[in-house]
Amino acid sequence: MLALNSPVIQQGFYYASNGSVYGESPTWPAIEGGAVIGPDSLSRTIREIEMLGATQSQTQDVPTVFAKENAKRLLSEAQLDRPIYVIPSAVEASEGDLLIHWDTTIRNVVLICPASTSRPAQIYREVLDGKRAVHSEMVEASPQSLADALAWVLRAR
Amino acid sequence: MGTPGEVVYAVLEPDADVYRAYPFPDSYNGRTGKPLPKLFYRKASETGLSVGLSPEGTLLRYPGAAGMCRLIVRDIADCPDPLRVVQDAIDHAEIRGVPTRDEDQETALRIAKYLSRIADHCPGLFRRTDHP
Repeated sequence: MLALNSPVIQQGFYYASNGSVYGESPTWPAIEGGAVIGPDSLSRTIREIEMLGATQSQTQDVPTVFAKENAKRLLSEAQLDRPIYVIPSAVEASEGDLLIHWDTTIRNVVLICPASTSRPAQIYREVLDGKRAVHSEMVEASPQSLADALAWVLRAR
Repeated sequence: MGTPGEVVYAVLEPDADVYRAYPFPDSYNGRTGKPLPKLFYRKASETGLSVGLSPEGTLLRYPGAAGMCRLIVRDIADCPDPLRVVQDAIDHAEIRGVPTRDEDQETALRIAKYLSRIADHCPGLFRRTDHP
């Protein structure tokens, strides 16, 4: 298990000044940009996915069951490849798709799980200089590529 | 140039503010204090992202809005992807140059995330009480 005070966790990103965001435990450091580091990141992320659409009105965007199950499978299998320590900054639905964002001040990752099998799941990565993206790329999502991306987002530039 | 009879508006000043309405309370991300990127995903039925030129005009056009955020025209134009803010009514404009996610997923995400970063949430402009 990787300790929260390890170099991987501490290098190259910034903590929000308040250290606590939106109902998170105050002992879990929040990365400026919205993502949070915690030892139970996977279960918290899956809980957020399951809650999406559960309490919202029918007029709101909700992800399809396929999108949610695909996201949960990718995350669970990525965890087997490498432990996940980062909790998303945003979990959102758009036209049945599910998009999970992990944002820091210098690197961002988005997992895009489409509403149906007509398109493959993808991973978007970008590198920031201030508020502008100076590099971005898309790759097909797999447990390995997701594990790589979530390790990459926490790495120093 | 517009067609005869069509009103052509002057280019908006770089320091002008524009306002994007939240269709739902969950358009705002309480974790980041910013709107969610999905607020800036263009639908295929739209020619651009609808923005109001004043908070009052935005609420008048979208009376069911759960809130809104403010963007500065200069910051929109500073996007690495070419965007334009085109006024098309006395109190309304569109952000043009945004592809749909179906057309170009990578560019659509890059733009939406950029616009989300430069947007300022307007906390005093909510009408619904179920906002997070």
